[in-house]
Amino acid sequence: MAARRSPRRRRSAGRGSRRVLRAVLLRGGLLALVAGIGWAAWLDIEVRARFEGQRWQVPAHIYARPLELYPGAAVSREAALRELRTAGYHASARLDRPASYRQRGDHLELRTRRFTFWDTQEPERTVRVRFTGGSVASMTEGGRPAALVRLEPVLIGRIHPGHQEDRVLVRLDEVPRTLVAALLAVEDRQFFEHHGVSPRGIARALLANLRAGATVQGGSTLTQQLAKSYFLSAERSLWRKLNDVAIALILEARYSKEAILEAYLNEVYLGQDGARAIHGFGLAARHYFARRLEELSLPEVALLAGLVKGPSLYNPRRHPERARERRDLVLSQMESLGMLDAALATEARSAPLGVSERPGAAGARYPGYLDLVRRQLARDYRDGDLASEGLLVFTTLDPTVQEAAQSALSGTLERIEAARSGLGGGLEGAVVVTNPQSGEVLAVVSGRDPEQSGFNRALDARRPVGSLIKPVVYLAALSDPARYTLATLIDDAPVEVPGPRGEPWRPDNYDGQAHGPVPLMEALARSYNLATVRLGLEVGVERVRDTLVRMGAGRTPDAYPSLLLGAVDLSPLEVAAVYQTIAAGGFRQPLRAIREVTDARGRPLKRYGLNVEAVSDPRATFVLTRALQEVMSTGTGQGVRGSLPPDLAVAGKTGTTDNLRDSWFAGFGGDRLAVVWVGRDDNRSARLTGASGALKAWTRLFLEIRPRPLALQPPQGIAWRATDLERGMVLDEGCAGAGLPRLPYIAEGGVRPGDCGGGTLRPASLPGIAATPAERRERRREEAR
Amino acid sequence: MRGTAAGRVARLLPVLLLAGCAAGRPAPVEDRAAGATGAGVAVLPATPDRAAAAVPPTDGDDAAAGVTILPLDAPATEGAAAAPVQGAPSVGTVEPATGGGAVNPAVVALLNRANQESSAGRHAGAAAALERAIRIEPGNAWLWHRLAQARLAEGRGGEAAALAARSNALAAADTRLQAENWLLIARVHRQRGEEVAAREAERRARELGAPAS
Repeated sequence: MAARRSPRRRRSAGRGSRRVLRAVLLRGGLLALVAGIGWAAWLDIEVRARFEGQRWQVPAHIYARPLELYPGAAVSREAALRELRTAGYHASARLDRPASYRQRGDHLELRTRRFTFWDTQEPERTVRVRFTGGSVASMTEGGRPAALVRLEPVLIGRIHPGHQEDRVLVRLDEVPRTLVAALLAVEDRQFFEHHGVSPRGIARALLANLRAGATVQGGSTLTQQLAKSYFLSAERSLWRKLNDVAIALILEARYSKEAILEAYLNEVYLGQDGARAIHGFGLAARHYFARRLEELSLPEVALLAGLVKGPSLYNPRRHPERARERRDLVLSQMESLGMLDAALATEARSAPLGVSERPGAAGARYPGYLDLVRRQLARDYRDGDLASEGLLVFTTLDPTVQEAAQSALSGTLERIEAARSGLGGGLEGAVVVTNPQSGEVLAVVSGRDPEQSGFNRALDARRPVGSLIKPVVYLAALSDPARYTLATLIDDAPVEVPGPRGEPWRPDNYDGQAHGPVPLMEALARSYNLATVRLGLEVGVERVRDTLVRMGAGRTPDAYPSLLLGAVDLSPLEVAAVYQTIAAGGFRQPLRAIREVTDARGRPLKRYGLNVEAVSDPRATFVLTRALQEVMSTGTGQGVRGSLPPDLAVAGKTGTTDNLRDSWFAGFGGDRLAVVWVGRDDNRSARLTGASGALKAWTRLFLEIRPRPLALQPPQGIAWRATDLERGMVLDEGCAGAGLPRLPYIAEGGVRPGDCGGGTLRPASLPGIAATPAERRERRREEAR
Repeated sequence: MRGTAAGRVARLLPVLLLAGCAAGRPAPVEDRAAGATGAGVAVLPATPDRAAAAVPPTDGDDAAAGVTILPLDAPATEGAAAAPVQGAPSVGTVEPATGGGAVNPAVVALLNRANQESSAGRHAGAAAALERAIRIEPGNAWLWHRLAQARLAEGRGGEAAALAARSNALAAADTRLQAENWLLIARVHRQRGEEVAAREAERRARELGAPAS
């Protein structure tokens, strides 16, 4: 506005006459007055909009799942310690502050931090935890047994607005009074007396600086500093200063000292973390000390107050000596003003800086997982709200599992590439880990270099699934217990299917052989293509396709016969959804990465609860799972049997695609399910089968995370029978069947209680379905008639 | 933010006191920031100590205080429930029950919490506690049944029926719990006006020994 005013005056003066000049000057003066009033009014509106409107854009904060400790929890001491450190817990022999721990023999003592969860507030507690053999043996609190403690979750990310601003808002009543005192001591002693500007302050600052020969005090009041940061610009002109003074006066006229102080505490710039500006003392406490503001000690508070003058000059990580001098100066000023007694000030000055090793929060360590969280949030929230409302998002990420999945994948790929030096690198991969009981996604690895964001293979790399489809074919068959059981013989013989454009499709087995009549369980365990295609054609490709869709594939492929061998492109996450349904006994659960969302103050907004949908017969699913265990003991997955502990029962399936392009493995124990894909981004051959690639990484992961063994309870209606697999025969109930394996059957299906007839065997599939290929051919002829 | 002069002074009182201190009058001492460095810092008068404020009952406290509400239908041992017919091998090794047949104390604490929430009408809170319990003991059919009840109370019948079916799939040996689940499913059908399906579910409950309704 000043710029607009002066040319007008020059133009007027050019007309010459004194009278005119005087009139013009008068009018100019009036104009200036009006303009001045207008300017003030405009500033007032701006200030009010800034101060009373939504004052800060606070990004959504994303948390990992909280660690729950209870007797029996499968958490090792090492895993607990790792998680505590990531959560910003400090080792402390005295446990003098929240979020600290100490080790005493085989005990770990924790002083937790209070935290508001969606359902309840966890208070601060001090518990002793004893670990044995990788799990929690016992817990006590004040000498009495404690049942359960839920720790504050680890912050794993934020959803920023376009500019990388972050804040941890604090209320004035949460702010240590030492901080306010320290700020007043070095920045604005007359804060509670002046009206926005302080001539006395300026004078005293000048004097102090002259005496010290350097700038030790600034002349700007806190209010002026706040004004300056409200309308931040690099400009250092007189006009700018005038503007700041005016804003400061308006602020003081309109608002209480308390409100101004609180705004200042949340606004002031205190450093830089890469692209992220550290604004406000709440975030600064987290950034420099990995603590909440209210937990800081006196010397820590003094250090932060000292930073105001020059956040990069006094950066305690880069210039510890300078930061220390500044801190000690702040303490001395407080002492000379009588805010501190001498002993305390001396003690504080002798304290170490206490700055945490690295910035408090794990920022971009799990981009693949955060990507999934962002997509699930996008269903219910607008981008703008996520970036500005300070929402708290509680995810299901398990940091221990996530880290294990990342290192299992990268470690396995390195080893594979090292073992075949001539063939070059370029292998990529992806991992998804879930809890099959709850449908919660525990880990997402988007590629070999987990910190590289970009193409998220776990979510977006849709590749042919190959033999991973087979359990779906067999489940569709086993759901018809009158026709199919695990012992039903399937003919693994060449098969030809007319293609859509006339050219016949002639699938082949991986080993190029046809194996003749094989029991259904063996055909799946050894992943025979010919038997599977024959079975799938008998069951009907459309039924197989519908089963796949019901199980949660998330897309509806065409029902071509090639679907039976996995000619459908799915992402690892979609595969996980399908296998999840098997692992959960036929109940589909939407895969969830988010448990709940609260507002910035912890008030509940939305919960994503545990839900299930019955999509396949629990009995058929149980029988299928028995066959998937066989994959690991005698089938395509048997290669890793020696690597896994003998008591860790698991079930799974390998997948390999044409020309060894994709290497898949999907498998589960009692409480962990993991899908691994290994291949190349350019879709050239990875030269890996499911067993030689993905299964290796899967095994490494399971060895590391030690899931509970698979321990399915047979649902009602399952009967166990001794079975002669080679002949496809099942023994009647009560017959000895010495040496024969006992397999589960759906009671109302092919297995009928009857007498032994002297131990005779009966065909496994009854009634009426022929057990041998010859009989089946005859039966088909009959049906054709 | 604006207010009368008197109101403003009243609101500012604590801070004005601080100003007094800043002007050089040492005052008695209180430091909320850290116990260790406590003595000697002259600052604002104490605000009410939030740490001492009322805290909702916690999971740990319930158990520690010896309050144990065991559900009537809690499975006696998971092992027994899982034992397949005639000692035949099951799929996977049978999971040993925690602590020799007793339900994990953490699960008991969470069940107590869920019961408190339910009786206070906070069904979503009850569901949250039950989901935490299921994460600890996913094979416990009773917990799934309780979650189904909580969902039904929230007015989410479809979800409740599916959860009851999940409970049934886990409750192979517990006919009484199965009957409870069928009765719950029957209620959902009836709420939707599906009388035939409701009667069928009730028939299955009666077969399992539930009293005729």
